[in-house]
Amino acid sequence: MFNITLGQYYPGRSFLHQVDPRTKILATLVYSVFIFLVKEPEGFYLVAGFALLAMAASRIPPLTLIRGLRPILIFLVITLAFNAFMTPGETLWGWGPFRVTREGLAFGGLMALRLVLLVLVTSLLTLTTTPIALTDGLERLLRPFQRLGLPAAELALMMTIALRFVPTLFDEAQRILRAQQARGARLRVRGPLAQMQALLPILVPLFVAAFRRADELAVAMEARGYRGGRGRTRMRELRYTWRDGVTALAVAAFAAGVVYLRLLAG
Amino acid sequence: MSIELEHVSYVYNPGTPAQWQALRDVSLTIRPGEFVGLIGATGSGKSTLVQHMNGLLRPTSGRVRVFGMDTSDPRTDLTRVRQRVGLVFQYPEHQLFAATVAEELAYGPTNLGLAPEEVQRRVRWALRAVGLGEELLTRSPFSLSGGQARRVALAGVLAMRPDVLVLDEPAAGLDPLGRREILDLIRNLHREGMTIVLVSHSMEDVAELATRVVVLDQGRVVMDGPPRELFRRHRELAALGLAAPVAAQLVDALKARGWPVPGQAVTIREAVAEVTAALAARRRERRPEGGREGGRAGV
Repeated sequence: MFNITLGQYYPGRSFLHQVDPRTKILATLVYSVFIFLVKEPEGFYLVAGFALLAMAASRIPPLTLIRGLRPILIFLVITLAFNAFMTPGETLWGWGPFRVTREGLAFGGLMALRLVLLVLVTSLLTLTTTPIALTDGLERLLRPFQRLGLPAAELALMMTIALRFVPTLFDEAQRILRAQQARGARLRVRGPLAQMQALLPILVPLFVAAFRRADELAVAMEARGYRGGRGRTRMRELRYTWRDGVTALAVAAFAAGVVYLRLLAG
Repeated sequence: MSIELEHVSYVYNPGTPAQWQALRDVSLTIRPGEFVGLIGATGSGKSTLVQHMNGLLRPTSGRVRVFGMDTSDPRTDLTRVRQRVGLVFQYPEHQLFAATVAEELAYGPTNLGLAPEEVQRRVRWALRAVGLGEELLTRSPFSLSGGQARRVALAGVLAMRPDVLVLDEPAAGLDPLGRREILDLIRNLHREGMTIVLVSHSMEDVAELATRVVVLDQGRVVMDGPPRELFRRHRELAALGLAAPVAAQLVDALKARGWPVPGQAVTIREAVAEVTAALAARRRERRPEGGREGGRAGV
């Protein structure tokens, strides 16, 4: 029922799995920005090629990756349809005031492709990086901003905790749902107000459970001497290896390629 | 027949790496008026099995009929199934949500579409059935003690007036007094004619209450019979990761050492009776010998 691939670690020891989380986060950021700079068809070979390379380096079965696209299917359809109808140009097919144009179809297709590649690459980040490594990486990347008052360690801890408890809360929600169904609960009812009321018997116990867990966690952390981020040493130290060098070079080459094509066209 | 399971198998997450077969070809009939104890190690499929009994889960293959209603049949009204078989989950107080105990207890009967007067009647009846006073009706369920909250949650299911009550570890996490109260309550419901299915880790509770014990192992029913018969087979139970009640183990050990005990006890009370009878018999034997102390001291 609650199957979300985004943010689910896929265990492995591939090249991409062993790249430092900081490198992977930055690479994903660069990719997400540059994918929107690309406008020419040649550029799309470049972004698609980079995505394929990353997929190959992750050794994750393509089917698993494609399954992760299912939640955005509706966005893809809307993007494609919206662009196909709204872009002026050579009419391919018309019905009343609605026209599908060649330019619209091409533009919508490119937009949809962009979305697919973006989701594929970002899910590669979360599939090849454990949530813990991801927050470690983020904390390190945000550390320079600590001088400006950004509580990087606390933010990272909050993220770790949130990630850790998402599956727990899903399980809890399912359990509560079953218990209320056993008492004859009906979830499919008419009207938004009735719908809200029907959900109360699930949401209230879920919140109560979340607060109970938070209390227990706070006590457990204090009992083990947690006093905040200052002066904490870490069990896992992040270290760059040759893999990070290779990844950085690949990202740089990709970015340079995109800029070069932009200049050619410009 | 209250609940009939025929060749029921159930697979979680079929076709994914997390695929897990929880039940394998389970056939089981719960007859009216029975008190069935369901035991098995963690992961043996107990929780999956009980969720089939009121249509929360439907078998991957096989058939479940609840008072003649097939839970896999799309025409079956599952609300009616759930009215007749009440299911009380583990830690049921975690599902409390309403502002007052009265509202909490009214939730089930209201979902059944009953008239307000009938709902009120059932609310009062259920509260009395779990041994709580009407002064609690206006209290918030979140202000109750652990034992009280558990009983209110149980009353929330009872208010639907089920014919069969299925309870998953109803005494878990309670103090000894709260435990005693809940078990006595379940015993009384059974005496008043309710069919009970009790899932428990505690062999003591099952031995004391159940008229029939079903043992699950890796999704299969491996034993099914009266508790007295079943708990005699404690070697087999131990192989399944379960222990026979301490009382049964004790009288068996004594019997093996040559004590004149019948070795039939499964509850502490019965064991005490057997041991005191044996001690009394021994004392009577000794007296004519003229008060010579000794023999096997310390057994």
